[in-house]
Amino acid sequence: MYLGAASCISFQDTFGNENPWNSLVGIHDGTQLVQPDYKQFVSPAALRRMSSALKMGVAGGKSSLERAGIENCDAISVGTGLGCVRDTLKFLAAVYKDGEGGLSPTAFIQSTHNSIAGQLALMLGNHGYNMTHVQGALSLGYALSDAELLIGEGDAETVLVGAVDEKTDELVELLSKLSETGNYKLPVVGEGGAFFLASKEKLSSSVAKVIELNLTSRTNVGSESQIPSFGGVGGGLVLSNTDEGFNYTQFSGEHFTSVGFGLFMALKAFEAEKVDNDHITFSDPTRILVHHKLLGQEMSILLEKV
Amino acid sequence: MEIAITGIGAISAIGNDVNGNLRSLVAKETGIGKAEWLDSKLTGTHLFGEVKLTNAQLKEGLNWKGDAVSRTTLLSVWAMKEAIERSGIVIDDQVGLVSSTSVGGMDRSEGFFEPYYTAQDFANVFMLGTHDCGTCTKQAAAHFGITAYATTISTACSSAANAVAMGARLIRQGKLKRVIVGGTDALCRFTANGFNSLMILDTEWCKPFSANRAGLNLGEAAAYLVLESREDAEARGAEIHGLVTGWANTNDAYHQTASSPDGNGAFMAMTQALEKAGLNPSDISYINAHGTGTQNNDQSESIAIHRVFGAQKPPISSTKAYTGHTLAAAGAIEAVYSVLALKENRLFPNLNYQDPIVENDWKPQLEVQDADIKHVLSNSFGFGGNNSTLIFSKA
Repeated sequence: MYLGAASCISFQDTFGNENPWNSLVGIHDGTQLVQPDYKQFVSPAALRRMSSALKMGVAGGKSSLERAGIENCDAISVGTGLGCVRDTLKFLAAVYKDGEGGLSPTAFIQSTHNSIAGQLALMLGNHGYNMTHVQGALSLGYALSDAELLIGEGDAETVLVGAVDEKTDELVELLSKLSETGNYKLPVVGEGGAFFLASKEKLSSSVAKVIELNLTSRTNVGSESQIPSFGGVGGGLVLSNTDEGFNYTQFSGEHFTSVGFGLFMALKAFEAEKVDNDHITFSDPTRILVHHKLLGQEMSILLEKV
Repeated sequence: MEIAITGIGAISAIGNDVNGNLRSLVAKETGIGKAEWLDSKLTGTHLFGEVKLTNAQLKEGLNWKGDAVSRTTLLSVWAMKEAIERSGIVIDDQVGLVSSTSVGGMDRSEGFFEPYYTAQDFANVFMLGTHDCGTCTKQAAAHFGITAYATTISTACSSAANAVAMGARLIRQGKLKRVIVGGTDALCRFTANGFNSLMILDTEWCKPFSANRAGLNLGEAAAYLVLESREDAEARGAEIHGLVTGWANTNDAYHQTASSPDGNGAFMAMTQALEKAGLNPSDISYINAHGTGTQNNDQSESIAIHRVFGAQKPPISSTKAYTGHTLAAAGAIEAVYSVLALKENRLFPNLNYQDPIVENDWKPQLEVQDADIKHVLSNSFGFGGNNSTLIFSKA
């Protein structure tokens, strides 16, 4: 399976930026998303009702197809750890504050996890396979695995694969209180949307080939693990949210699908070929391992430049 | 490669196991009524398809230790346990789990959200530890020692049908030997109020495919199937309950919640599933319809069925009037009912039918009836335009 046409909305200047490696800036709790002009992708009327998860989904997905130079894709597969949090909390608040009466359905409708992939299908007029995986830090991994299966089965040649998670101030407060009860330190909470075109054949937009995808889940949270070597990255780059590689989450913040940012940066590293700045130095990597480990779940994906 | 079903497990408002569900289906006994455990004002005005066991009873039956678990997970583990036991499989690194849920551990999270939203009280914030959908699957996988593959599909009311299809694909491509597939959803205040705000809940028993239908009843359930290749199943001498022969997942791309008037997504899902199974519409012996009882779904689905089957329709029924609409579990519960139809050679009726829909040239199956059932087509449609169809065939 090949990957390319990467598009990403994050805390960094990533959307439409050909070399985001050279514009990385540090982040803190107050860092905001660098958002594109969503009006390019959605009508202003529709935009007003959309949460940032939906906006990132629609803009990310549409721009990925634009980058690939194709009108539509055979299938859509999205991974999200918490889905449409803003609308979920909004509807819950209304349920309790209004005593379960006189509720507007808008937030409920938009709260479903598959509304990101559903909105994309609606806006693209895409009648193909439409899937949403919600598996914590493995959500993007399983969305990719699903695309691989679909392509392997011969049911799709092109699959738009996405990773979307949004944050709100309320979510950060809840996660912060929750981390206190769980006795772990809450990292800088991030958010973002990253989309890729996965394809059976190498397309003109393809950047890398997936050599191996490894997804593991441990019940014993925090147990030590080794990044799988897959026969060695061979002098290639390792992007990880641990100290076993270049830590991309210092620029994306941490969330269930922050690995989407890591995967995007990996594809951009293949394209950039040479980067030498205050944060990182690399030259023409041919293989990159992207790794993410969070709350007992761990994803590794080994890519080879094509 | 043929995909065999070697284990089934189910818990719903009409039974705590597969046999309990079958008994109620045959006795025409609905499980929908006044809710006992759901903590919502709506229980005063609406009917629900509640599972007849409390969380404490579920925990006791499962010998589950600890409180950090949602009802959604308990239902899931309960039904998975039956499916695994009936299949006789041993959990090893060749076994995967594809589960599904719409709101995951929301039922437990509401124990936090109520004091939080009414009194800014954070005391129960630890309850959010089981909130996300993935945690339900992670806990169930851990309970049974499944480590190779465990994901959660959340495509609203078509979720579990998609899980079945994904399991079949995993086996066909040699990624796993056996996959446990299905879905789970517990009733909660969030979902009840969500559907109420959409004004698609009937305050009486739902009446699928009846002209005077007035909406759906919500239910809770979990159901799972154990899938493996027919070759592997036969090699270990397993009982084969049926085969998964067709599947399709399409998108209506019409509206976020409503189905298109021409039933396009549903039409494509049924057509593509038949194609995958290598069957003609005339080969189908029974349709287990999505049939929620809402004006929109039943009309759109009727049109789609007519477009696929023409004048020669097989018997059709919706079993939602037994269980209520169990959301992400619906596709799995109805997969189990489809398998039971195949095994028992029996059609299950569509309860509460009163008036024919004028445009329809058919009436749903109204009685329990013996029939030679070779292939069953089961529909599951959801918000986000998701339309999925599965086809089950006799081994």
